[in-house]
Amino acid sequence: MEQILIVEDDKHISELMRRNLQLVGYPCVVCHDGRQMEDCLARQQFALILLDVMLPGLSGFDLIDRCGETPVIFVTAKGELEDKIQGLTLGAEDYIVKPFEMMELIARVNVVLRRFRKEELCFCLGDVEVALDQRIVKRNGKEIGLTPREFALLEVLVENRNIALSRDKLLELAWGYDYEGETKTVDVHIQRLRKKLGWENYIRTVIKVGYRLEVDG
Amino acid sequence: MKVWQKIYLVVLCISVLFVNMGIYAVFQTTYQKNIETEQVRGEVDYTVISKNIQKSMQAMDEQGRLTREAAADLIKIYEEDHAKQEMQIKLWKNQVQLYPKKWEKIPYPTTETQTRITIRGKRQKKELVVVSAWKQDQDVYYLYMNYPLKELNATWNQLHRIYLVVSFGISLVLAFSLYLMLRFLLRPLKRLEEHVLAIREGDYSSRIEMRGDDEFARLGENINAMADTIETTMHRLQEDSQKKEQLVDNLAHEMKSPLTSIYGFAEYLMKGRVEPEEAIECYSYIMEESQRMKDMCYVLMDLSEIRNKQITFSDFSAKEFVAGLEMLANRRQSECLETEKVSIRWNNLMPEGQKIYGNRNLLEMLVWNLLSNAIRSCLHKREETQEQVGIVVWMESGRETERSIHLRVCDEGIGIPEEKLKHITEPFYRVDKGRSREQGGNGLGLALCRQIVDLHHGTMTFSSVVDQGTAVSIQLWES
Repeated sequence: MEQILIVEDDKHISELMRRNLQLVGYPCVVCHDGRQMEDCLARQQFALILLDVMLPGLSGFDLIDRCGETPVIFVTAKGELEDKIQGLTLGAEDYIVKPFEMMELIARVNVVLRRFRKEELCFCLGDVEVALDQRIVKRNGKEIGLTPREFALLEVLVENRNIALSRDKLLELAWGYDYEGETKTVDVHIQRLRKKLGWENYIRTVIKVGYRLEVDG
Repeated sequence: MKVWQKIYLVVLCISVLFVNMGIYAVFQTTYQKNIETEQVRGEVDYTVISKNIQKSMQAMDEQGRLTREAAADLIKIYEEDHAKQEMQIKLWKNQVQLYPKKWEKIPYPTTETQTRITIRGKRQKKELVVVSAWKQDQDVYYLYMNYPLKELNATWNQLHRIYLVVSFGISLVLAFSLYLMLRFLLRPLKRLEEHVLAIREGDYSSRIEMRGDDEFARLGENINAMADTIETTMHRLQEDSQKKEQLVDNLAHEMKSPLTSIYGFAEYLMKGRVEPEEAIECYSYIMEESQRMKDMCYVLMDLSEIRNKQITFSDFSAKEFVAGLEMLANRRQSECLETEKVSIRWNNLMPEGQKIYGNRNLLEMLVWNLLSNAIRSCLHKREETQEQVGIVVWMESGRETERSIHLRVCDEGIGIPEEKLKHITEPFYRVDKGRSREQGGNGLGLALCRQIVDLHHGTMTFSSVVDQGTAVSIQLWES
């Protein structure tokens, strides 16, 4: 799988981004300025570049020309409309304003990556195989019937693997903002998913937070 | 009621009153003079007539012809003689009226020796009255004459008419000229009012031009001076609030990065699947970022403390001051890695025993801040070019005043582009945003320096050449 390049001069923030993305299964390379970025780009191909705008020396707006075909998301503390417009007209795929939440970063990265992905995405865990694009779930080679809602929940869990999601967050992501059900619905669906996929050990209940799909590596 | 209307009414009333009184007095005197003239004339006339009547009566008495009818005839002759003057004559003998044949009391009794001449009657009906008495044999005769003073009455009527016309005319002229005069004199008041109104509306640049040296001109000058003061004060306030706004904006921006890290790692720890060793790393990041914010907070507090607190100044030895700083620098350097050491040369050119006047802590903070900047700049240059670079600190007595001190910190670092030099003392301004933060700067050092220098009545100037180095020159106690 291709890696994501993070160009961010603040060491802590770049570290935070790297850890978050690695948690959901995106390996990352971190560098701190334009020169290092060019070295990295010369060495290998990246699936995506997360580019800070305020960098020592050349700014992110200057560096975007050197990224070639690789999609770029700007990450910056400048949240003004003009900055966003400038960033997007320069050819960036998206624009993330600091301070951002983990889920926002992951969601935006997911969207861009899915748009640029060439091969089909397949997620395997235990004896289950999930083809996210085709919306097919197989267990031991046999297709399992999931309701659309169950599949949506599965998709959210897979995309945010290793991250605990609260029941409210799950409702929002899998059911949509306008769903006015109780959080108990989430528990019921999680139970069903665990049973159907045999993921009793993978979908863990995190006390006082919610649920987390735990995947190694 | 407006002021001019009040003045107008009062002045007009008083002046019309006095003018009329004056005219009236003149007319009255003229009239009085006429009356006196009439009286004198009447006296002359009477004396002749009265004497003639007396003589005739005495003659008739001697001849024994003095009867009532004869006396009446005599009087009638005189009356007819003076018919033109409408003269009336009455005659009594011992309370008995001889002529005309009526029964009247003697109107104005008098003694024999006295003759009374008076002018009586109302204004337009003045008449001359003469009463006299004389003794003839055993009898007392009273003679009463009166005739209307036609000329006098005519004069009175004329005077009255003239008086009315003149008084009305003068009052009219007075009223009109007073109105014009007041409007003319109070014209500057209107201009002043317009001007003050403009200031009230917020146009502080409005200035009024007044000629002359009267109260209005002085008031105008004072209003101009007031507008000046308001304008400069407003300008300063605006600038101040702009600066404060900028500071708050920058502060908010500056807090974003550490907050992103702190929030991010906390979220990561709570939601992510994190191993214990990794968690410790994350906790340390959170602590480091909190520390960064804490440091920033302290510098901001220093800044506000310098601004608001009474700073005390004292004399202290220049030699000790430099030695202290040198020690501090050496200690800091000894804590650094070999690659992070920069050579610092201290040149104290002040005479032996010379004292520095100021706040020692603040001045140390000043030099130390400048030195830190210089060290950072040098380290960066070395990283880029591998050249050996150093810092020189100069200190000497200034020439401006007794206390003047000239301080210079020169480095051979990366320098600062000219267009950025003028901004470097603004809070949170960074020449190179990314780099400064990486090296632990908070963007407040030079803002602090500027305040310290201002407190010591000094100036701070920067000169710099990119890739050659920067020199900061400070003059304390210039004035």
